[in-house]
Amino acid sequence: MEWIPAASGSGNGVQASIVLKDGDRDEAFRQYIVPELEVLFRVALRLVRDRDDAEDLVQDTLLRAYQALHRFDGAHPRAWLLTILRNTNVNRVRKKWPDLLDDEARTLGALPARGADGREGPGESVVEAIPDDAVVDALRSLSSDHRAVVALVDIDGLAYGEAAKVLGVPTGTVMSRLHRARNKLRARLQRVGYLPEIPR
Amino acid sequence: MRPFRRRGQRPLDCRDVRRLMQRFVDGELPPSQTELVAEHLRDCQRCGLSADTFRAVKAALRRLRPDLDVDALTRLHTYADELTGG
Repeated sequence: MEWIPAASGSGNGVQASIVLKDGDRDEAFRQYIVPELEVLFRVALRLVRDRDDAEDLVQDTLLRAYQALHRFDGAHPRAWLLTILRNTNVNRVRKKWPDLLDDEARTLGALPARGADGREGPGESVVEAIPDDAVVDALRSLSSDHRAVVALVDIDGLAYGEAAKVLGVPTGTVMSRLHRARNKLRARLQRVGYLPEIPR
Repeated sequence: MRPFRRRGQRPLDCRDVRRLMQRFVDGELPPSQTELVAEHLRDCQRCGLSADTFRAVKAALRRLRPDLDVDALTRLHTYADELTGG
């Protein structure tokens, strides 16, 4: 399979699209898109909450991605897909509830289900592991905007740029919200004794 | 092993590390800066403790990641296969 820059141009030297050689679209889809299925489903569940709706949203996203694969430049497939996912969801919400658009951050900020204990540890550290209940309580104290960015980056494992695509905000906004959210989480967990105070 | 520094490049101080800490913990720094922050954290107890608290919060949050419905994921893979005629 080979990505070939499109020959057409507007005269300013910028090539805005990529064309695939005949017959390569299926292979490109399997190579770049299918490995991101789990991440897409995870983020879709944050956007719409209901599992069936999330499944439908991912299917629509896959279809749009397949149809638009000729416009994919071969770099950062996850970020590209998350943009499609977000736009697809906005269009679905507009059609379904035109007056309800769209407290996305409120949905994204929904608290996660409790996970199994002890799947991942903090590694070698002088700081003890923090109980799940304490973390959930601390999350509840955050604003919806702050919970949304913590959910996408810390719980779902997205990079800053990927979370920015989902939220439709600049990467710098993700970083600043994350910074403020984590400081609040740390301060709260310090107050209740689950984290040590940092000496000045 | 000490990280490679360009000529004239000074080691990071605590203020530098506070500024870079979030991106360090999230793995969003370039390797050269990652090494410099790691060097400072090895030498500075205060910043090392601060990094540990960030990591502990991050690890605790990651444990809240919900398990995905396996049947739903299987259906999505089947749908992807159908799109590609596979």
